[in-house]
Amino acid sequence: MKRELIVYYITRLLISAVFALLVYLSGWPLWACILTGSPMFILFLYYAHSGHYLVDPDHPFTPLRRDARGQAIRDRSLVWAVVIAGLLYTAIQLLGLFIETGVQLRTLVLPAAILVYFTMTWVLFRRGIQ
Amino acid sequence: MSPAGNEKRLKNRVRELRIKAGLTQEQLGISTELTRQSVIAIEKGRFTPSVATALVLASALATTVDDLFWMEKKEHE
Repeated sequence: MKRELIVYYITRLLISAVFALLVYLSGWPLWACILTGSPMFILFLYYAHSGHYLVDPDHPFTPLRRDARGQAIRDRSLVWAVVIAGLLYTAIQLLGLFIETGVQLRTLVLPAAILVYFTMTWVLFRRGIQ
Repeated sequence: MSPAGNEKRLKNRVRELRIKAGLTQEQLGISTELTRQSVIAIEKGRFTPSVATALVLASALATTVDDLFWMEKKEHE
């Protein structure tokens, strides 16, 4: 634990707790709330201690900063996410010319893009970027 | 793209000089505005720093960029 991240720990704990509470208020049982809030807080902790971010003590509520390499990885991951989303959307539209796909398939584009973004970020952090 | 047989790769002495200076990867990162993982990536040759970053690294390790980084010809089997 780092002293300069005390505010970060508290605010992220609160955010995770609020999210878990929202899950509970929407009708899910308590175990589901714990299962939702806990990984969220663990991810916040992981991000802070992964070594992938600099800590800016002048901004206690948003202290994590990317360095030049992190920014390059973020930019490349965003490009991949946008390209995949565009291709997927185009494919769904073309498919819709031949079979009834409905609105449901198009709603997969955004989650797919988010998944591609985080996957590419993970791959590039591990494999390296030149 | 280099002609076949003339491929070179960037090598460095960041780890050697960091240890000699008694710095951890995190400490070197803080003094050069790099994350610990970026320092690791540079030391392992997985990330080529910008000129500015190379200059800052050399300064932090009390050496020159030429002494810190060099191109080495790849050996083909």
